[in-house]
Amino acid sequence: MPDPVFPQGTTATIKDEPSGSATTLTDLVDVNGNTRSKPMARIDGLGDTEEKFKPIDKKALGTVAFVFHLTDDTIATNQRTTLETKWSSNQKVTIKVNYPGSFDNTTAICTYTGYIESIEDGGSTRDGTDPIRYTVTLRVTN
Amino acid sequence: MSALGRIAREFWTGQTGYAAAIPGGIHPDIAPVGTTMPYVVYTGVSRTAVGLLNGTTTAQTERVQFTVCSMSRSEAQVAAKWLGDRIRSSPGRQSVGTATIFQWNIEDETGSAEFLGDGSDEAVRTVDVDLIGTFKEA
Repeated sequence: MPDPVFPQGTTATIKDEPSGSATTLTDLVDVNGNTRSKPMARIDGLGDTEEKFKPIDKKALGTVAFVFHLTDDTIATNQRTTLETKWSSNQKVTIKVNYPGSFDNTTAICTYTGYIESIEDGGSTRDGTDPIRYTVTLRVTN
Repeated sequence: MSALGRIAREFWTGQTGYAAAIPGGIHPDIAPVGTTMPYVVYTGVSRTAVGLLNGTTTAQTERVQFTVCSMSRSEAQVAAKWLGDRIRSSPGRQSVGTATIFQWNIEDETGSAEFLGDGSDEAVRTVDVDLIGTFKEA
């Protein structure tokens, strides 16, 4: 029987589309889930006694957010700079999230292609004991 | 033994005025019988790892309690204030020996009830100083 999947040990890679090489995303602390959805059209008539829906065949692929610790690499080589460059240059990327387990290592179960939509720098508080984080949100699109 | 306690002791012993402020020294858990007062003992309270999704631990956050022991309340408080002031004047990233401190601060200073010192029938006044810090060791 397959095992349940736990997040510890998860890694992620990023590669430029269409033909970049994959590099590891370092200092990843959270992956905020992606929601894919389809809008539903209401098709019930005035005389119907219950609501009826039918999917409209226009899929919304959603967004997925990746949270990283900010590290003190020099600015030129900092991962945050690298990702910001991809954001500002509209570079299409594929991010592959490799959960631990017996998934197909070639494709990974969670592979997202799209454009970096936003980069949110974390704030800082005097009493905070957690490292400073930044969040990169990918707009998934084919 | 508390790692952060050991690092903090190394930090304090390198500060100007240490010998005058804490003549009995800083000791893990208990001090030897007959130690000059005021002296300080420390005990680790809790320790958590700062980790990544891939399982790597990048730093440790630890809370350590330092207890200043003296024959008088005022002497204990002066020694505790000396310890706290040194931390507050250097709260950010720094190297202490082979360790890297990312941040630390004094969260609580508490005067506690008297108790009897080892081998002594005289009451000892204590002040507890709680240090919380994030660090990595080489």
